[in-house]
Amino acid sequence: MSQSERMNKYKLSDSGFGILCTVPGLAVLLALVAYPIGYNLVLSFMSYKRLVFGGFVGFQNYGWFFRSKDFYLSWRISALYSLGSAGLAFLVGMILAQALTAVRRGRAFFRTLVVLSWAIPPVLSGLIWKWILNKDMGLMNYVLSVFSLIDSNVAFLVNTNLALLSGIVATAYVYVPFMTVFINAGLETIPPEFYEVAEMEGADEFHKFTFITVPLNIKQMLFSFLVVWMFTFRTPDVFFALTGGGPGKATYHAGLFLVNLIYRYIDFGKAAVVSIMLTVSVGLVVTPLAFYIFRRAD
Amino acid sequence: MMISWKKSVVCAVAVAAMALFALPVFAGGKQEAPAAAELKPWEQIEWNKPKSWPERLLADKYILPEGWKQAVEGVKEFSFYNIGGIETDIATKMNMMRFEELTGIKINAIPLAPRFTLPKTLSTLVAKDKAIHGIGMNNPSYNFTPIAVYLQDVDHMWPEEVTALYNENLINYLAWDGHWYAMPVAAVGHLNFYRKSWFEQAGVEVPTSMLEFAEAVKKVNQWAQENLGPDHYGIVFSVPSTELFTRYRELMYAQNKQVIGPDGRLDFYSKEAQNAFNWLVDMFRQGFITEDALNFGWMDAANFFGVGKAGAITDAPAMFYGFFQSQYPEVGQDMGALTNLKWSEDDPDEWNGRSLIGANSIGLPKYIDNNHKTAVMLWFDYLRSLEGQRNEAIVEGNASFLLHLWETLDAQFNMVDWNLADAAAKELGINPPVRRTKAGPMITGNAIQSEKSLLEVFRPYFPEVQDKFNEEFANVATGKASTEEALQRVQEIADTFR
Amino acid sequence: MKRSGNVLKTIRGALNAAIAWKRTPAIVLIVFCAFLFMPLYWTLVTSLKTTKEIFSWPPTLFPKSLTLGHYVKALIHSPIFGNILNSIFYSLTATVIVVTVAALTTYGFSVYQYRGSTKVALVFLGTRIIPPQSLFVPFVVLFSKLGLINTRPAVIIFQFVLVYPLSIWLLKGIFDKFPRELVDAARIDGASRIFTLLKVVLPIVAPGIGAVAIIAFLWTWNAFMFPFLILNSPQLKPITVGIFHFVSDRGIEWGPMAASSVLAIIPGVVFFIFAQRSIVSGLTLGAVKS
Repeated sequence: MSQSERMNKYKLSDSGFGILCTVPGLAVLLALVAYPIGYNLVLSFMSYKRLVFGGFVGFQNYGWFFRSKDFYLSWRISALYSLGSAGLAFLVGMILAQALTAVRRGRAFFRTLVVLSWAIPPVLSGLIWKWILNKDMGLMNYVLSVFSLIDSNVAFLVNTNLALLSGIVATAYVYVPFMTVFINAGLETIPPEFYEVAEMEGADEFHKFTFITVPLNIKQMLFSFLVVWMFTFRTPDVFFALTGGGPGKATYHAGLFLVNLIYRYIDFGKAAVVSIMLTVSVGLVVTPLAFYIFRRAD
Repeated sequence: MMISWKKSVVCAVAVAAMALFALPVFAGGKQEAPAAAELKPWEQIEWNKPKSWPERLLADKYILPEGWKQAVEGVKEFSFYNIGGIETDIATKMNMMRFEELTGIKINAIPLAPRFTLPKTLSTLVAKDKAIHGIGMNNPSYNFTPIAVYLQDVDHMWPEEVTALYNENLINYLAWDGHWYAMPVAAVGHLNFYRKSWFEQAGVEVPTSMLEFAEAVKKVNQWAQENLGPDHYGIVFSVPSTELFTRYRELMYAQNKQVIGPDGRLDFYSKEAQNAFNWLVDMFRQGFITEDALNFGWMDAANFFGVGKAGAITDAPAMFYGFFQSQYPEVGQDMGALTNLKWSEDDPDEWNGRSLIGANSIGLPKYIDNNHKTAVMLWFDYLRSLEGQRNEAIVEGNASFLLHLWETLDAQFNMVDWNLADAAAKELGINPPVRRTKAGPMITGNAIQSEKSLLEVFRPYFPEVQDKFNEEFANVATGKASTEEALQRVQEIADTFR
Repeated sequence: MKRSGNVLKTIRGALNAAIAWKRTPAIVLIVFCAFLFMPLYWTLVTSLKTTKEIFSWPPTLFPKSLTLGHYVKALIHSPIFGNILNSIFYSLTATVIVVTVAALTTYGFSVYQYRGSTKVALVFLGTRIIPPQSLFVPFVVLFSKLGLINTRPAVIIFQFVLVYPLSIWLLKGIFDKFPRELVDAARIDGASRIFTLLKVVLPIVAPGIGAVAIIAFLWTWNAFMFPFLILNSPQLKPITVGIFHFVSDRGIEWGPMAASSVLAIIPGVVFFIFAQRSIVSGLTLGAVKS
């Protein structure tokens, strides 16, 4: 701050005002999440199974977690699923955003169309997709058979690999509007002269994309990717409706692992460990990237 | 200094958090302090007056015990979680209306979406929500055993002369740790329903054993696929996560074998276990059951059967009075019902009808006030009475554990208050029920199964075993493992919980 | 060497061609929007079919016989209409609260930066990396101690916890780009800081606020699990919970459910169209490079 003292008539210093604005909100938020965090932290060292409190057990729950096959299985599926669906949503969002910037007529119409699916709650879109992918009366099978791409109806949600893929597509569908709106907003700010100059210099499309489009929007892109990745890594909304983790454990998402421990096996001690590990896993990825995004903002 | 100030704030928040959460965590496992010595309201009721308890229960119209009015003073209404949605639950609605007529106490049934039942119940109990006075339970013997910590026992309502009125299996089923924590609303079994016309056109005799049943389904399947189209099936099951194991259990009982061995150990090694498992796997592999059922969330079976895409369905009979009547009234004309059958032709006939019947029941939370508890107890008493069970059995089509009801079945048809049934249907917005005057195949099937049903009591760890069972079943059905390997892995999980 | 150069050239050519597709944006948009719109169309069509037709194969792309019966059932014989009104109430309230508080907070640490303000921003995000599933049970316990079970504030408070931190992040991008000179000019004129926020800053970042409002609105609109756990009375339930009225033990009533879904989509879309112009231009401002 290079403001002179004379100019500053306020009693409170600038940083003091900044803190004053931040603290109440932060305090309320922390007060609300402090209890759940403390609850999970302490329970992770306790045995609290089927609502019977068994006392302090040290690192026993953590030991169980790292020996558990479900941990490796579900983390792998979560990683595949989240990268797949965030990646696909990002790709489609990118294409749509580029097209939206370039289209001359009916931009508002297309924009509304893109965002329409955002208004469907994920719980519902899971059920709708289950319906569409159904083997016996699903629209997907019908469309594929009309174009003679399949001989007989495919049970998308029964084949191990197709089930994961179906989950990825359905999830990407949910997040495409968010991605598109976000990336599009960034693209529209790039002055067209940049591209014109580049073209005069003899740059091809690839050059323009990597030297103008991406660098000028990297923050927006990273942030939207990060948010979707984070959501899909830990929340099994779509799988829950689509496959319930099946067939077998082919789509046993980390979020489902956690939900099962809480509500099915009613083992709050172990569930606390899983939730802490999920937090740590997401945190390890998000924190450095978040620092990076903020540094560029300064 | 900024840094140290921030650190101290963080520490303060952390300490505050510890103090906050420590309270409920430790309180959860603690015993409640013994109440004062004075009599609880339900102990002041003269349960054996004006008539003895069994006589009151078996009267044509339920008789309230003496002193009930003082014991429920101040109670205007109470609420309970109703499993499976009230919309097709006509008998429960009738019973609620009748109870209000008797006592003036209004009952709210809060429907719970089936796949979220346990999360909701758990939240309510952990939060000690005093606005909920009854916890609906569909599988108390294993899904809900843990929550007994939060439930009030109702031992005093099960004296010897009362338990003698009911199938003794029920008594084992509803009790654990030597206490009764739940009361039955209705007994729900499964019958095998089939389309008579399909079986006739396919040239299939009505099967008399489970092996024959499988053959019949195969033929019907073939016939349907050739004549009606590739999207038609021999048989459909609805498959919420519990149903697959339910099928397995019934196929075990058909072989006169229990899932729990005499030493109390879950036994998946037997010949019978392999038979049952393979029976189901064959159905899936050969495409007699739609493959989507492998995802354990397939809920369209009833619709499939209703619109005419399946020749048979194994499901709870009660739905025909609700779901089918409002959605597919025409199916009723063309329908036959079979109980769970004996395994093969060579087996003795008395193995027919050995099936599994679950008890939809309600538990009473410990932390609500005594007058409300008493009101709910009175309702329990009404529900299990002849009048309450008659509505469940005849109007809705459920099974029942009340022995007297089946012994005097023919007389019961005349006793049903059909005007009340119509009024209940009207309030629910569904078609009025068919006024039955004698037992059809469904009620006869229920009668047989109510008498012969087996109710094995599983330990609280059971969900883990069941999930493993589902997982391994999918592995076998998709050709990734053999039956022997799969059952061995299920056995290993079961053994770790001994 | 030469060969690999050729291969690279081919790949480059393919990439160029792929990116060049944006030159025909209308075709790209139509293809992708068709995919995005398909589930919605399917829902709409299903809601107008008879139950028998819903289960038919091959599926019909246009209803053979139109029926409004499912809408009648959804609107008259079920609590769906009230549930939609509840959802609107929850979403609007949460949006107003979140946007007001988040704007003030971001104004504080973005325009009047202090030591560690970036770290504070990270703390906000940090509260959001906890998986929401593990928050449900402790929050239910906490809310029961505060007497908030089965009340409207409970839903809004929990939604605040979920949306507030991310709103701050979205707003931070916008406030960081705000031209400082305008704030300094207001200061020289003797305006108070709150006056500066209301009269100088907000009008310029208003579109950004609108964008955050839409996101807050739709995220609240889509919330399911916590409202389901905390609410019992049918008259308090939002549409996401209410829709399970049509899911029973023995099946899903696809017709009425599709009808309710169509009805449930409308308010979100209306809110979006209402704020549409502000969402993109708002985020646009956030992306301006200084």
